[in-house]
Amino acid sequence: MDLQPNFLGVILILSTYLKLPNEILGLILMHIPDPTTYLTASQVCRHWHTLIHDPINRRNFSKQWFLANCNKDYASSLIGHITRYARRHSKLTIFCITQYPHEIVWDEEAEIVLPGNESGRMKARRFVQWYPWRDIIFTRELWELLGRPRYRCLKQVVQRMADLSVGAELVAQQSPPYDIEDVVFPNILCELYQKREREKAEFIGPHEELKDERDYIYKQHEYLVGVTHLQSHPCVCGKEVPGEEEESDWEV
Amino acid sequence: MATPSTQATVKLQSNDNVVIEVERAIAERSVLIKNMLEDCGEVTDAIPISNVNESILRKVIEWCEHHKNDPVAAENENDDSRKKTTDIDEWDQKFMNVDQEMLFEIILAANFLDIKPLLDTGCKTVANMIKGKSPEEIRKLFNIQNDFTPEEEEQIRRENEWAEDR
Repeated sequence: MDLQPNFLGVILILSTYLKLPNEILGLILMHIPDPTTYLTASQVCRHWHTLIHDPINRRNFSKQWFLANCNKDYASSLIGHITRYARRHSKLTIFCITQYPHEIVWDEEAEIVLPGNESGRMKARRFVQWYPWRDIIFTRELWELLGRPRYRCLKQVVQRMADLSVGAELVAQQSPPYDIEDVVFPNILCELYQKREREKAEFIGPHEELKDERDYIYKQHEYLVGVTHLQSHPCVCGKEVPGEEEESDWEV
Repeated sequence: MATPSTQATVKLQSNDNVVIEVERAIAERSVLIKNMLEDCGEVTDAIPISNVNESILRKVIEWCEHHKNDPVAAENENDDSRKKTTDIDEWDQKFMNVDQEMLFEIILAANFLDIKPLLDTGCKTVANMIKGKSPEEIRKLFNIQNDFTPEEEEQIRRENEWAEDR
């Protein structure tokens, strides 16, 4: 008899959980704070595995992650775009779950908006020329930090970017949607940055033409996330950046 | 159409037949009820909330009361309203500090009544419970059966390896 309340409790919880429709489970998954846990949850059971690998759910999760994180740390957004862009434009076959092309879902919202009126092609080429992928330094330290599989994965991504930028044909009529691997690296790198606060600016971003480095990188970040109309916001350095009326005069 | 002399309160009836009278403004945090009142004008009878029992309904009303002055999110449920995953305000955290069954019931009620901020808060709360947990811990948490074969489990584990925490 002692067992009965417990037993009933289990039944109740079980039944309430079972009442949750897929769309609500999807919402819950979307709000998981980090991509590692999100993927780990796919090992729970078949049902969760299906939900988590559902492109729509993955995409919602990734988008939500960016919304929650990309303004905190510009780096997360930069690396995210590298992987996303590389995957889309190099038919990436890195060891990741979105290696299946038929799973790619177009998402206009995720379009990378760079200033100016270039065609999609121009946009892509200039984007690659400008993009700070080449400034990622592959050091032993990074290797140790990321672990071998991820380090190799990131390296492949960057290598593809390098190959592509040498005269490759790029068309960016539409940009790829955020997806899970887009947020895995940013998440890892966010943590890295927190540890290495001081070296932040050295780790990523073109330095030569920078007057005010942090401000500049922050602006790049804004472009990347499609914000052409800057509102007044706190900069990564803590100061308040005043809002802008018009499109910026950013040029290659 | 809402007339200037709109009623100040509405009655809600839970599925266990308890009638609760609440301020109209509070009840209207629920988009379902709001639309119903707009469509029907004056409603003197109790509105049956067929999917929700008394204790959950009271809990939901408590939430609506606390949040009655929150700005209502814009129509085009824009990104800002659901920005930060981990940010749940203190009152909400306390509010959501209930047993799991009730938490799920609140989520279901918020979904049924169409109270988006409450639904989001509930889902975030559950998501935060999952954070950092191993598959086995998650199964325990929600009482989920592991229906993978050991081989499948191993394969999925390898699939995810690239993204794992070290």
